[in-house]
Amino acid sequence: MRCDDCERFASFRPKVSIPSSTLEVPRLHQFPKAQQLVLDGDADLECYAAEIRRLQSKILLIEQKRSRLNGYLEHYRSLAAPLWKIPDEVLGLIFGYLCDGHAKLQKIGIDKPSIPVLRLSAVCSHWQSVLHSTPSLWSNFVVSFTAGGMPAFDAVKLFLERSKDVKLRVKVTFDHRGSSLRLQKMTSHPAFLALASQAHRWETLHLFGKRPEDMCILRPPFISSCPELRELRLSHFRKRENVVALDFAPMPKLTCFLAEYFHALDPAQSLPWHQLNVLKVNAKHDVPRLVELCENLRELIVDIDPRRMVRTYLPILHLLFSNPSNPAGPEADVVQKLLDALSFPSLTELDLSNFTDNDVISCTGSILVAFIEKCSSTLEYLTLENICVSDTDLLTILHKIPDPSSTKVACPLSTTFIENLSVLPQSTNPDSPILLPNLLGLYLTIRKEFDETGFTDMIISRSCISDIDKGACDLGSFEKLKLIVTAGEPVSIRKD
Amino acid sequence: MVTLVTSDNEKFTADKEVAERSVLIKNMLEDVGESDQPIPLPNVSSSVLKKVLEYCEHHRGEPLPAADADTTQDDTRKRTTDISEWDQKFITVDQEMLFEIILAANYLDIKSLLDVGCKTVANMIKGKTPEEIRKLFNIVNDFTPEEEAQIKKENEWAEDR
Repeated sequence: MRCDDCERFASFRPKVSIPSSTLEVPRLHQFPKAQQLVLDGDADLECYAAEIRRLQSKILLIEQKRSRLNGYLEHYRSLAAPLWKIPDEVLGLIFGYLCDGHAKLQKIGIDKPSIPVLRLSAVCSHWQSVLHSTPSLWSNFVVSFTAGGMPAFDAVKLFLERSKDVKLRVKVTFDHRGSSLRLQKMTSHPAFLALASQAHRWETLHLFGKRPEDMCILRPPFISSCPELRELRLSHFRKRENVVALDFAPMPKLTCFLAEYFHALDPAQSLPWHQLNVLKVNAKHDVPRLVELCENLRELIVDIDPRRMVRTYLPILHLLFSNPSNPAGPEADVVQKLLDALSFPSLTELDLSNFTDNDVISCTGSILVAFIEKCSSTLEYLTLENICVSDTDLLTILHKIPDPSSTKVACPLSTTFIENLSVLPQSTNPDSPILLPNLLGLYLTIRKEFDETGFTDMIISRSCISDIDKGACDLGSFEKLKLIVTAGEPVSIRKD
Repeated sequence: MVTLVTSDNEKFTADKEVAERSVLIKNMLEDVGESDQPIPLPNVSSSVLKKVLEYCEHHRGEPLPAADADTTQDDTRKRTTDISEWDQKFITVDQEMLFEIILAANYLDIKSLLDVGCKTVANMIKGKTPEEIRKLFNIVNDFTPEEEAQIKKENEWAEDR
């Protein structure tokens, strides 16, 4: 309803006014009045309805305007967001941190896969274009061919396409459980064939399986060669009844071979041993012979306890005991045999650590002394943790190491040992050289009856600090002692 | 000592050892040789440079990453988004400042600071749905209905989160 004066919509004036008093009792003479009132009232109701419709359409219009403004502002708010200042290469770095793991390309199962690269692609077109133009973010994935499930072919295809020509880092689980029918089904699966067709792009392949046939993806006719493969990791091939033939397709760049929980590894097998820089084997394999074959080996990792990963590096040797069974059991025996059979002329770090519940491991003594004698010329770091070493053996060992910069001896030691480490005035005599003159760090576990004053004297004697009050440096002020040993690791102490 | 001039014309002096944690500044100093000339940093404001210098001062003396660290890094090794306690406290700033620090680290070529910034943003994104990420960074969903359908198709075999 328009106002005649201002041309704007104005509220109408109802003809009927409703009195506040109670309704009259109808009388015959009031009939014409009532009739007129009803007519007027009906007209008023129509006007009310028209007014409501007008206001509703007005509200709708205003809401539309508000929504448009919101959208418009959202666009500019987004453009003004600090994130947009970040260049694409930095955005790529951020995505790199988020997409670093293997994407699980399985069909929906109980564990629904989380694929960061797909989730990030769904944020906005700019992120999508950055992700699509970074093939490396699509090159790292895991596929499983098992009785429990097969990979999603669409996903494998998508990742192979989006990774373009980039080298692939792939984990494959293959387990046909001895059924030739299932093996045939798996090897004819389009995802298997698609993956095999890209063997020329494999850079690392981690294959989980059980039987020798589960390694079929490494052999013709499925692949002809892996020209870029650097690292091959074979896990869980533990079936004892079969000899595992490593007659794989040519792998001219293979430098890292990791056999984990791998039963049969024979030095006579046709692996390019001479190419390997890194080798991981089980302590029950013929380690000395394998080391001999791998003439370019830089790192050796040995599983001592088949249930736990134990690393042995070359020139760094870590022998870690983690089997909570008999400390003098077969594992200890294996270590003794290894120490006896191997020598590492460039060994820089020796770490013998016992993580079992047992206090001691008894593979030390003369064999350890002899081993260190073979390898000690370059040794810089020595760690003996919860290993049974007598003071005499330990001192003999330390005398054989020319100049270690760090020694960690975490087994109960006596005062005799500490006295030998002290830089007593007479030790400045060139005929009586200081034991471990360049020691930077020391981690000791001491006995209850340990001579605390002797220990304090030892720490102070090894620190060339003149302005320290010797008397103040007792175990009670250990924080201060920590400050004294500034050049190396902080001294740690634990009382039995 | 080295004098640095920010985009808002503020001058900062820093130990050469601290300033040289920036590869850009290190190269500039090598180019100009022994000189008292202030180094202009037109892409860094004073508030951001103050933070950057705080970081460099704290990490003074630590070994710098090799120039070719990226290419020699073992690709197969999983990169961690863990951040040290001090760095975490240092980078607890508002979003605007966080991205400014990242930009400055990128411009000044301070790899370790750039890594801290990128890891922080990655940790903010981790575990969030696309919608949550949009909300967090004020990003507009600009996909057409057809593109949305394509994304849905690509994701239909996998749970999106």
